Amino acid sequence: MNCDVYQAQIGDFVDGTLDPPSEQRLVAHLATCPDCSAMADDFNAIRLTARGLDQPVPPDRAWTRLSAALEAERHQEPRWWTFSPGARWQIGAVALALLVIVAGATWTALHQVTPAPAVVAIAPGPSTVDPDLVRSVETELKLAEEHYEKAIAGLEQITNAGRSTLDPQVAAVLQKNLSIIDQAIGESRDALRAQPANEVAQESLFGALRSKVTLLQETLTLINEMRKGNQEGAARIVSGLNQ
Amino acid sequence: MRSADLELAKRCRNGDAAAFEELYRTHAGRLYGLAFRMAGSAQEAEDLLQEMFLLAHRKLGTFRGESSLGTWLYRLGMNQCLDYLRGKQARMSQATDSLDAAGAGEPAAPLSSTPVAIHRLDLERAIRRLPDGCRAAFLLHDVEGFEHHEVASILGVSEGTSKSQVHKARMKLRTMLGRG
Repeated sequence: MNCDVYQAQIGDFVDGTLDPPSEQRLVAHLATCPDCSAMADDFNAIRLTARGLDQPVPPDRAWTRLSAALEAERHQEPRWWTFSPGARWQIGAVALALLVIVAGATWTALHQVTPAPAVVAIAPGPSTVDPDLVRSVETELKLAEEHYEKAIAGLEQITNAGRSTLDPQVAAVLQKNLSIIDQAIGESRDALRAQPANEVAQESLFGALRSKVTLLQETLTLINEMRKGNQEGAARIVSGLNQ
Repeated sequence: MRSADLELAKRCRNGDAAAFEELYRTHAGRLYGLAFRMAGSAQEAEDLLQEMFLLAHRKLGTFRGESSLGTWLYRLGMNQCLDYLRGKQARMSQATDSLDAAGAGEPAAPLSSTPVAIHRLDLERAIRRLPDGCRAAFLLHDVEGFEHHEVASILGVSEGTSKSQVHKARMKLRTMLGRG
């Protein structure tokens, strides 16, 4: 047999799933063939290293965001008109906030397609970017910003109304975080006024808007947990806010 | 194990918030890791994780216990990741249609020429440069430890395809790591 046949078996061999007769033949071949032997060693090293890779950990806010979204879905299952006007407004705002996240993700993805110089350089011939696409990206940016602003306005209205539920110290931390984000939003907008095509400023603006939506969503979830008397859930959210 | 999964799924379907949190706490770590390595950034992984669990919440009624709840979630999660990457690639090719999509994930040069051990960071970087299909199979098999028949079930392919995709991934990684 030639090396191709043996090399096709090396994967099963390092996984320990090769049948015994084939394994015997392969082991005999590996003892005499440096190329196949090196391949088996490398596959084994890749496999062992892969199994030992670190497990990235989702941030605490991922559960907070998810539970807020689930809460909104749970409330949407019964008939919409059975809710009080306040509850309807709250659900609508959370749904809008989710829409914003989707819009934000869309914007991020669209933003990433803007060809960086390095990409253009390796493309043969002149740049083939469709001007209509660039225009549509600009429109998407504007729309995404409007969505963010609407969601923020809605969420601010609800969280301001429920702020008295919060511990004054927690409310102060939230206010401080919001001020920092507002400052970042202001600075990004100033930079964009001076240079509308500045990608870093665009990224910074949307990052800050997104952070504000997330913080307001967390505040809303915290208010709900406090109202339900769920001290454990509230403590978890507060710990996330302080990170 | 399966009956525990069925019981947990039933509690989730009945609106038991604690049960859903248990489901999340049990599986979110590994699914986040998968999303992180498929999408390439923490922000995208977080968004994908949320989408995975929202979809799981809506679809738990379809879980019949033919596979473990973990495998069922992986199937759902991997489909989310692949759909997301397909959408992202479609937009990329719209903007830069002269780029060779098949070649975009190929390495320009080996990352390292370390002769013996493989550095984990080198491997992480190389994994990111694999084409989506073989990256998915490699992550499920070599990183997450699923058997080929499970990878096949998660990806909706044959066991032979799973094996060939993992083999392809290992060969590409070997080249990228300067060992081929």
